[in-house]
Amino acid sequence: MVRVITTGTVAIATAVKHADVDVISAYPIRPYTGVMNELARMIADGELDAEFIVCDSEHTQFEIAKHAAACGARVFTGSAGIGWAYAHEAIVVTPTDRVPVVAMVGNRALDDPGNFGVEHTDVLVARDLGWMMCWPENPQEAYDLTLMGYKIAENPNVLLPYIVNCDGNFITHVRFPVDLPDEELAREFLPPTPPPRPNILHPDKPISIAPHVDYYWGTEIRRQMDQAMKNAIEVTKRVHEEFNKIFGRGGPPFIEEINTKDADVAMIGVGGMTMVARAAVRELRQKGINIGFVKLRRFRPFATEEIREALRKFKVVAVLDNDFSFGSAHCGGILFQEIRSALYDLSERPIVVNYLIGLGGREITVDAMKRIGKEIYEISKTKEVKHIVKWVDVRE
Amino acid sequence: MLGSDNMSWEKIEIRTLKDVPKEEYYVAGHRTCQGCGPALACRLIAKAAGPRTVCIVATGCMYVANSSYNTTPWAIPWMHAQLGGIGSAVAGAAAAFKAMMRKGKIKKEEIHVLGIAGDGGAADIGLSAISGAMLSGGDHLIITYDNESYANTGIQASSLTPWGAWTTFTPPGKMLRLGNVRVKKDLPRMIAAGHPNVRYVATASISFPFDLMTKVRKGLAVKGPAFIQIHTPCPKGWKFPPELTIRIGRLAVETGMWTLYEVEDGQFRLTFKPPKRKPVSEYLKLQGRFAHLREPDIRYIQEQVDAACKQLGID
Amino acid sequence: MAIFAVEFDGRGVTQTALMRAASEIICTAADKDGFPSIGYERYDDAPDRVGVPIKGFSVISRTAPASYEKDLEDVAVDVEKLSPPTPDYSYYQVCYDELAPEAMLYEPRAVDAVLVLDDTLVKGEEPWAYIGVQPIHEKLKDGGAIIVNSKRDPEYLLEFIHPTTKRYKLAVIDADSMDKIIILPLIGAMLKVAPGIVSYRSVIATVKERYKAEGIKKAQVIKDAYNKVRWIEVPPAKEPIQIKRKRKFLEEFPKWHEMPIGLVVPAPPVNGPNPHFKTDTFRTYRPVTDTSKCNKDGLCWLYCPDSARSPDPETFFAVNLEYCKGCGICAEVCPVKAIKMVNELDFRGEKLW
Repeated sequence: MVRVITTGTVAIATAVKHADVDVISAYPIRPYTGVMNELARMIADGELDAEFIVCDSEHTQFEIAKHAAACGARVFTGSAGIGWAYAHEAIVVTPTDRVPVVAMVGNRALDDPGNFGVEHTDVLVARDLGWMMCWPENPQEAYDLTLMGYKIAENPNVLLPYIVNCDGNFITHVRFPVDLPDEELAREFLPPTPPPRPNILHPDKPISIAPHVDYYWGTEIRRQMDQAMKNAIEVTKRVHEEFNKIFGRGGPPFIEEINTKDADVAMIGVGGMTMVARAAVRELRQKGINIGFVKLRRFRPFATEEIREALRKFKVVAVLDNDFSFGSAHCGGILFQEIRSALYDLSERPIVVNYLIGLGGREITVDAMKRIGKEIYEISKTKEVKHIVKWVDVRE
Repeated sequence: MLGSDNMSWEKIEIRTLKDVPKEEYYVAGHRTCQGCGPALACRLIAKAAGPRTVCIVATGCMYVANSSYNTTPWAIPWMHAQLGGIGSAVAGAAAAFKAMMRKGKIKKEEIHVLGIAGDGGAADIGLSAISGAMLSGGDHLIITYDNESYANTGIQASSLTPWGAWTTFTPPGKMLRLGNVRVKKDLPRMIAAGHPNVRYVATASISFPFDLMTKVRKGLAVKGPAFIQIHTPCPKGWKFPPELTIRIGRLAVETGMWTLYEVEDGQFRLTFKPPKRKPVSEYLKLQGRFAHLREPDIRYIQEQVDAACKQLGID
Repeated sequence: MAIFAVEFDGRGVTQTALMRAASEIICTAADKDGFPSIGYERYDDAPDRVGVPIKGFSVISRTAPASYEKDLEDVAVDVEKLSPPTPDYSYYQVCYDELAPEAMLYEPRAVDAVLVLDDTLVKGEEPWAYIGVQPIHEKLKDGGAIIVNSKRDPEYLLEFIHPTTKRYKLAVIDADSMDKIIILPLIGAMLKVAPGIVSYRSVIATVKERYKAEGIKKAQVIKDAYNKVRWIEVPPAKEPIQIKRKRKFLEEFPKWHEMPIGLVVPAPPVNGPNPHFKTDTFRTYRPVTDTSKCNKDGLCWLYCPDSARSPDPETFFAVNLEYCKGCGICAEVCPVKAIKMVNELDFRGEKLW
């Protein structure tokens, strides 16, 4: 084990190396390119043996990854923002082809105009398609979640592609302390060859993958995918347990509760903002405000039961969305819609409000989170909600 | 060029400094590198094209470095297009002006439709749209500034990166020592050969500015689609001190590593023939991106260039 | 527990890798002191352009500053003989909790030291549009230190620095003459002038590891710079000054409903310039024309990528110094060699305030 001070992109590249990936398809776009630069260097220096294909576009990247995986190879690819959007034809069909592609998305505000700052909408646009999605809080988690990703995706009861998100700049470019395990230990957890599955192309066993269908087949195909996502919840829990046992860290699979003991209210969010939330919640508690933070580690599959059980105890929940869904219910964010829906069936449910924060890459500060904390604490007392959705730090 | 047979330029050919318009349509105040080749290209293109031009620029250095942050050096109408979309962007704009003018919804007058993309946007992700635009025959000029990499994202290999070049996707290492092992795609001749309806395809260089500006005007004046590829040395990506940009561009042509030609109505014609072609090492040795190459590699490059020059009629 | 930070100011592309190395060395040294740190180059400075001013940082959380007395003891020992530190990580986690939210900022809130790789940057930075010129001590804490890689005296450099009500030390080290990895002398100087951020011993251990076969040699550079650096104490100005072209962020930018619809920005006038983005802080050198040699061929005007020259031969194609980046193309293409590139700091009396 070695401690280095490095970025999320290098941490993920190291996990990809430890996973003994066979095929990598690369195309540049800020802020994820660093992972491909590092992989190119590893291959050029003989540290990793893999085919590295410089592609002509993101669509090509994801098509290459899908078909390499269909032939049984372990693959890695990635993109960000509008590039991820460009690849969508390939992105749509990868889950339904049931291939365990692992990809990194460096979250970045969608064009137009160009903006390198972090927003999560780029990846969330694909939330309905069947990709698993997770958010590391820091580069250490980026390594962990990538290595786990192969194990979850390749499980024969799952066989769904998997995304590791990284907040643009804050997790992709900032250098943090990261404990990188030795390759042998990583390979103990994740053997270099994926487990066998029935849908691999090889002359020894001829099959046809994805012939054209009609309505006699379509509904069942969808229901199979649905089951795969449901299976993914149990598989994810088991993989986390295994990871914890071997590496001594990794945390709970879906959510992490931070300072929520006896809390009246809580904020919930994903990614790097968790680091800010830890400090905000600590400082508010010192002022006597009983507030906690619920970190959502994974968004797909959406662990409805776990999330409902974690949130039901609060009087008010503020969903922090570094994303947007124009014209949606209440003109709110995406996490807000889903979390509200998860809580609907409770006979006594928390008040759920929404804060749109960090849009376009604007800094998420401890002060801003403390303001939110104080506001929702007020709401818990007065039960009055003046605005269901609020925009944080907008010039108006 | 749409709308009018009377052009605002006195004449197409720019031969001396006196012919060069003094007006700047790509003005001072942009976040490009010191010595940026593509920035000079944009300045000369805008000068040649003049104010009756609508300019659409695809993502890349000439988008980000020009417009950072929420500002602009373009004194003519300008819009951002997506990285792979320059062909579609000019096709759409040209069709819009054509229909509105024909139907009398706007005045029939001189409007040039100009699209600018880098080598990544033109030769890779945007190739399909450019081909479509060429084929559909709209009245537009697409110019690609070739700095031989995806420069804005920090110098990654494109299909126009030359053999042997360092990029961050093709780094010379302990095991793979050469860097980029793909051969530079011949984009202008692909376009000329594949689209017989296209009346004007040309190559240019910022180190030959009068030739460049003349070709821009020819491309805009011709009816239908036109395509120009401009060689634009890049201090950041090619690793040389910024004052050498023009010298390196000149050496590219003088060594035969870049050739200046036109294909007009299907006829190929060299527009510059170096009197005595210099050895490629004079060009390569000034650039840090080739510093890892050894003598046999340079000889290999020389052989390839010699063969290409023979074929093109340069020697 | 407190946050300490170091800022690195340099020129894009040519000095970016050096700044990253400096940040990595400081962060690794902090780890050897037993404390967590983060490092980064400022996100919106990238893509880094040749010559553009860029900033990098190391941010550390530690329970107490490194001991100055211990540093003095360790400096007296030969670098070869100086053993590596034995860090106590007992406070690592609680410091990490304090540090982590700093990672979600684009710049530290304040820094203890500013290391300047190119001395022409003491005039200030304007790397982005709208933000305006930032004095070199923009982020510096009261009582902090600016350490400049320069052959000039601190008193000379002081003429170019914005007056401020903060007091600070202005230190100079001729890093260029000491090692081509110029951030090593700068770090060595920093340890003397702004002690406490990281310990001398940890820096020496870090440098020995990092440079392997050359490790001892490079560590010696740190020690030499520690002993060679000279500085002056700059007293605070009586009043704050009005900084030209400086705009505050949230207060002066337009509100959402004041912005034009459709992502529209008005075009600059024909001939320009673009008033919102001046590029003079890109410059380390500026072109100076010997008018006796100039033959008015106009090539300097023609080849300027920045449209920074007048087209009028009667003015010898006068350069607009607010928009010249000092790339040197005009000097290079001039067939009669009438243009020389002269260091910015040779031109006294121009104040960016």
